[in-house]
Amino acid sequence: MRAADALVNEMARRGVEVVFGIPGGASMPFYDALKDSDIKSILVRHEQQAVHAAEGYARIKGRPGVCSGTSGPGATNLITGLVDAYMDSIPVLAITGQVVRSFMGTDAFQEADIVGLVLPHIKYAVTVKDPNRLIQEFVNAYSVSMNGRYGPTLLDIPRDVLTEDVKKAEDIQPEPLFNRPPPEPDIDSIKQAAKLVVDSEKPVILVGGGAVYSMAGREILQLAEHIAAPIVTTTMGKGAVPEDHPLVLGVVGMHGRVEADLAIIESDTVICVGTRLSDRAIGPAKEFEKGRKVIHIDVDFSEFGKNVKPSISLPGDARKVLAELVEYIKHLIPRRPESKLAQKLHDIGSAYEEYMMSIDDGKVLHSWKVVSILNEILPHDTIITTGVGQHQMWAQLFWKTRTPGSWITSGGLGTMGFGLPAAFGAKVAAPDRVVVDLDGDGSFLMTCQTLACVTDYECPVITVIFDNRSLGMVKQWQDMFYSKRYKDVEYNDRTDLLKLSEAFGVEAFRAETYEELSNIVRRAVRTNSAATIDVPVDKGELVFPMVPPGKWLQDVKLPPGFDLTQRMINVSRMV
Amino acid sequence: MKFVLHVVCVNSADAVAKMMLAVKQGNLSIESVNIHSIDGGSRLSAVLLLSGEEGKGEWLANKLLNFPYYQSASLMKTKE
Repeated sequence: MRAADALVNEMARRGVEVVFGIPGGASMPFYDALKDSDIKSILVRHEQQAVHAAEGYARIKGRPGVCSGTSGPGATNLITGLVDAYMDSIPVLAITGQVVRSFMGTDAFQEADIVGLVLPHIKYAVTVKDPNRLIQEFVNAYSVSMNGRYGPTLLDIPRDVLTEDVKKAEDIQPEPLFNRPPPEPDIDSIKQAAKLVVDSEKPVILVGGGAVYSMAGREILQLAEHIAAPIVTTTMGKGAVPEDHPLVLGVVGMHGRVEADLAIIESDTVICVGTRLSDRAIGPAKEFEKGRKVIHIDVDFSEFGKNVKPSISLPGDARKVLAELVEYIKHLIPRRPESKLAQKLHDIGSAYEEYMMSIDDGKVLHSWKVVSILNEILPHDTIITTGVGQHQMWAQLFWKTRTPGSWITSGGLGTMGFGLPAAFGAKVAAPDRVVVDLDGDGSFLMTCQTLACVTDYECPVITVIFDNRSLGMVKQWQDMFYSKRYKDVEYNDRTDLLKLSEAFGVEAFRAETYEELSNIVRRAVRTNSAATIDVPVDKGELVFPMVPPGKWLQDVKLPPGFDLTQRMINVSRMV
Repeated sequence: MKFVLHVVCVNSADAVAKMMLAVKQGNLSIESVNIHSIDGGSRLSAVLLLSGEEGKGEWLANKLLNFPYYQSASLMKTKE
């Protein structure tokens, strides 16, 4: 059997349904084999979109997304997406073609050392030179992307390897190094952590992306309800728990909810679940460590102490560790009464929202109000993706994720252009759900060719463009930290986003009012149609709250005119 | 701080390259690296003498074990 056919057979056997990619000279035998299989190949317009689509697909399906590119530029175009997947721990398998073995190392046409290029930012990458190892290497790479801490892998296959004959594969399992069991919860450490939690007066639970992957939402809520602890999330942890729960305060950090930042400031113990405690989430680690105990739960040992020194580290799968922790705490103390602190913090959050709504003078459209309206009219299980920039921050501030796992964004790498292809991949994974990409005009223009796939494959994604004709977040930093010396942050008005969308076959609208926006979105949802909606938002908008880079959460800059002083005094008196 | 790290990995240039890239990521300086093949050439044994911030040696040992190139990575000794 031809190696390419054996590979595709094994892929199908493992449950691969879709490959996002572009064929080329070196990967032609692979595509030839795909032609005879039930695996659907989706022809994207640039390989970066293939990886982001695979990321969106993986996030929804809970299994690896597969993407492909040919040798040389096809492979190198995958890199940004692979690094994105690495930073956000998303299981993606990239299959790249490579020049024939006898040409390797000769600077042959379309030869690039893709394995060498991706090594710092990938879980596993290999060039398969022995055809008889191909299926084993596929099984290894596919399995290890979801073993322990999730991440991307890459299989680089010379064209002549794909065309050689190999024996039919029989029940191949991942080799031991690719199938390490995750650490089991350490009961002694859990008992110590439980004691720490019950001794604390103001515990807070900080939830990261690892909790989403572990599907630990139920256990987090059980813990929070038993000890009456507010829950805050990182950008990646958003949606691990439903954000309409009374103990959930939203995203913390540089552009976090004011009540979430306050919860951390006020805390004496933070239970960190599946988070790498990045500077964007907690500010300077030294400030975070000061005056509070830190319990850190993570499947990746190397996260303990990397940024923050934990008082107690609890290695293992977040869901399993939390389940044990909850049980031990229940043995130690009865359920605590309702959290007055959480209620007060919620009131502050409501005051912030009311204030933001009150500064709408009706002359221009405001991003936060656009997100709030979408929040009201979209179904609760809508999958939201975003680009990167101001609109992403408005979305994390005002969108309430109610169905776990339905918030998909580029948190670690901050990849502009992520939103639309990720939305497309999510829609391929969940054709029956509404998928909305909340995008910026800058981000949209980076990967807008994905609309061609939306049309070709009848995957009706709704794209809402927060159109400020600028690179808004860069402009905001120039405004705040570079004395308003704007440079290369404004786009001209000559790029017609509506015509652009229609050129790809996706109906496009310009919403000049909130009512028009509501009507267009409602119609697109009702008719299950693709739509691109250009929303001209205030060009001068700055996203607040904002914690300046390198500063502690307490140094947060609030929207001009929103006074928190009195409310903070009240909070500090509460236990 | 100085660290001595013992790593056993598959015999491939990728494994060695990734290990050195992780050293770089940890902002560690190299004092010496000694690598030789073991088990008839199927695996490599590496001893790294590194210097850097406190805790980084432990971080590196744990980090490497996330990747399937490495069978073991143990911090043998640390010194001020």
